[in-house]
Amino acid sequence: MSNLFDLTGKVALVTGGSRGLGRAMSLAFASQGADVIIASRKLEACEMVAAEVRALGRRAYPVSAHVGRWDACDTLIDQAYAEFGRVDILVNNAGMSPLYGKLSEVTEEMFDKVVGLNLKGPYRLSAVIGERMAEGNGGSIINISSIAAANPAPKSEPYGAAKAGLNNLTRSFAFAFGPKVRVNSIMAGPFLTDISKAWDLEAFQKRAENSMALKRGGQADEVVGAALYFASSASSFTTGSVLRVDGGT
Amino acid sequence: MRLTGKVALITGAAAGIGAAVAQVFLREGARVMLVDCDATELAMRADLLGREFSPSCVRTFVADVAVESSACAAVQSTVGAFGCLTTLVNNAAMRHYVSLEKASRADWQAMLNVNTLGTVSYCQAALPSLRTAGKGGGASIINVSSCYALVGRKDMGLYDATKAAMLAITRTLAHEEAEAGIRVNAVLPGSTLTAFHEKRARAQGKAIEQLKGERQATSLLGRWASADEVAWPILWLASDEASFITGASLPVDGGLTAM
Repeated sequence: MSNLFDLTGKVALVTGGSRGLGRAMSLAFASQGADVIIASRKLEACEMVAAEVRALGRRAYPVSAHVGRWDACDTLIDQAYAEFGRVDILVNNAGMSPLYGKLSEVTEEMFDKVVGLNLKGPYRLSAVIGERMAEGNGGSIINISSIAAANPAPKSEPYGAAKAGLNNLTRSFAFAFGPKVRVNSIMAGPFLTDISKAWDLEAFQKRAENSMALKRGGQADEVVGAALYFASSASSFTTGSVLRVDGGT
Repeated sequence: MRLTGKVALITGAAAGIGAAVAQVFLREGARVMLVDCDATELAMRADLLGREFSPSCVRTFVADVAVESSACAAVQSTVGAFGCLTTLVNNAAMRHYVSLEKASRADWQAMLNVNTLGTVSYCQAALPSLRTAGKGGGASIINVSSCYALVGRKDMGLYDATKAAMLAITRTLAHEEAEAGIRVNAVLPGSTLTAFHEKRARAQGKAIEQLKGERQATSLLGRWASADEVAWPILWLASDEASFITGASLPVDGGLTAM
């Protein structure tokens, strides 16, 4: 059987691409033949992943970008198209959820930041790139959402609301840019990436054993199967779909 | 601990012999840079080894050794992470099961790019750092060749030719780098039972038990080696216990080449 997940000749843009799930997806795309634009706030971290993408024989373009801002999204898009002339796979992966005390203590600035990075940025990137994909050779947009979008979670209410919005955009953009562009969402459960270093891992493990079917957190690379599926023609009849990759929560 | 202070770059380290080498090296006090083209397998291996030993002793660099520029990048990443490089294990290899009659030019090129030019690139990229380490004594390269560099068989001619080339590269480099204090040696494994062979057998619909029974007549010991049994001689060659060994080709083949 030919390789269902082949991405030879494709160009992928991954936000938050330097660490955790973003890094795993960037390298997986490269190993399937794609060139990769790695965007995140820290250029140095992007460059480390870019070195690995190049070491796989693919082109890499590390870009420092804060995709919570409209103008920064537009700059990133200009840079990406200037470098490669196309984007075939867009992964809206950058996200954040700051800690806070009481709900009333969430500041307006904090709320705007969370919605900016988790919803506004993906909207702008998908709107502009999706349009170009639809006018060009088509493409695949993958939104990295969270189970917080479906399961209300304490201490991440603004984040959950933004991710629920992202799931909604997944469906509306699937219609807006179909049939040439497919838009899907991965609802990630708890992954043990850099982010988890701030967690109380013992308490997390206890919760996982009680409430998760797989009784553990995920490793960053366990998102790769779903990402390659949505990025490649393996998912040619799948769009507007929201897939849980959450160890059974 | 036999490798205290050593920093090793191991190619093809996500599974099989390379992963076993990483494990025994860590056990003996080395810090390791694991290089592999399979990002997912590599991350899982690094995670396992990091938990067994210390995450700070394990680093990864995703690379296809056939990509020439990957060698310098991997070495840089190693020195950046650990401050030096003392030991290079050229273990990454590809296999292709085809007769010489049917092998295409493209088949040959792909094989040469990984097995021969990959080895050469990683040696070249590592030499400056190894020479620095060699001044203090204790720098070495270990090339993972094959007993089939010496003994013939059918349908693996491309692989076997590259493994024979590895022995010549080993001897030449041993000559050229002796003064710089870098020892260069090769191990020649016989049939080694790794996940690669198990996967291939499963794909052919063959039971693992049947696979295990297949090597009874091909060596004096009449069985497959485990990956650890190949890693231990590599550990010895990398250690200062092998300080008078260079340019050597050590069979690790259960007696196959003695038959």
